[in-house]
Amino acid sequence: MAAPKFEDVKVGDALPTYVHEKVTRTDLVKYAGASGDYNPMHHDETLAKNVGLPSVFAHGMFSMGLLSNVLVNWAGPGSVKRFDVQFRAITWPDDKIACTGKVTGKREEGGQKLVDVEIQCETKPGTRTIIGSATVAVV
Amino acid sequence: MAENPNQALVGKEGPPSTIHVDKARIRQFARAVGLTDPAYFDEAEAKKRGYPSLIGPPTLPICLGQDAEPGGGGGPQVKYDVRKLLHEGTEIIYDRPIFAGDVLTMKGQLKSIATREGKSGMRTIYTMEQAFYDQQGKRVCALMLRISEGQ
Repeated sequence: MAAPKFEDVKVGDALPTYVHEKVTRTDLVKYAGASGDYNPMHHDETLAKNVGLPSVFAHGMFSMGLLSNVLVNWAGPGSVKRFDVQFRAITWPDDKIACTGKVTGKREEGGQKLVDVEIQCETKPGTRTIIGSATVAVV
Repeated sequence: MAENPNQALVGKEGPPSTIHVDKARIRQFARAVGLTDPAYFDEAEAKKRGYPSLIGPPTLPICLGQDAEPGGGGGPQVKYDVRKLLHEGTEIIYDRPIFAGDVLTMKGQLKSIATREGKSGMRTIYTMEQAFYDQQGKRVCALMLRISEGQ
């Protein structure tokens, strides 16, 4: 899709949603290999159950990575200036992750046209695993 | 409560590391987080957009430490109980995007130590910063990790 134009962006605009249909253990192994985060709680089911967890769980940074799709699918790969998230709840295998965003402000600063957005990941209605904010540069 | 022994590390930088940003790592990382834009995979396409090579995904800085040349340190060795750790949040700030072929210097430091009341008692919040600089010494980006430890 075409990148947004600064003058057309309005506070309240929704960014295109990105959905990861189902978290698999393979997703977590792929993310472990790519990120170098080999905390066994993300891939070793036996160890996770031994410490009382129902199963392995997803890296927070895996969800933040999925959430980045919302920003770059809207404003382009080089647009991200700031990306800040809080991890609020655990993401488990088989969860569906819906990543969404909304424009909260726009401003010009240092010759750049900047758009502020709020972003989140939700695994079920009302269960927000990530909340955060970001700033992207648009033309 | 005894003073946190890590307090002495606040503001101290570890020895810097050198990282050669690699096309294979960018492709692998982009795939792992579901990115599909050809600018992450196809150098010819990236160049058509005016980029010098493949562009780094927004959360790439989290993974770059593993590609450091031997001899670097990353950050100060903070001591905590890994069984009590939670990853509270992450902030990434970009001065410019990362590209394949960049040679970056990573400097790690413990920015701050704070405490907050959690659901099951007090937690210590460590904010770790990794800043990445280009070969001219200009900052490219900074990654802040907020990690908490149960007390």
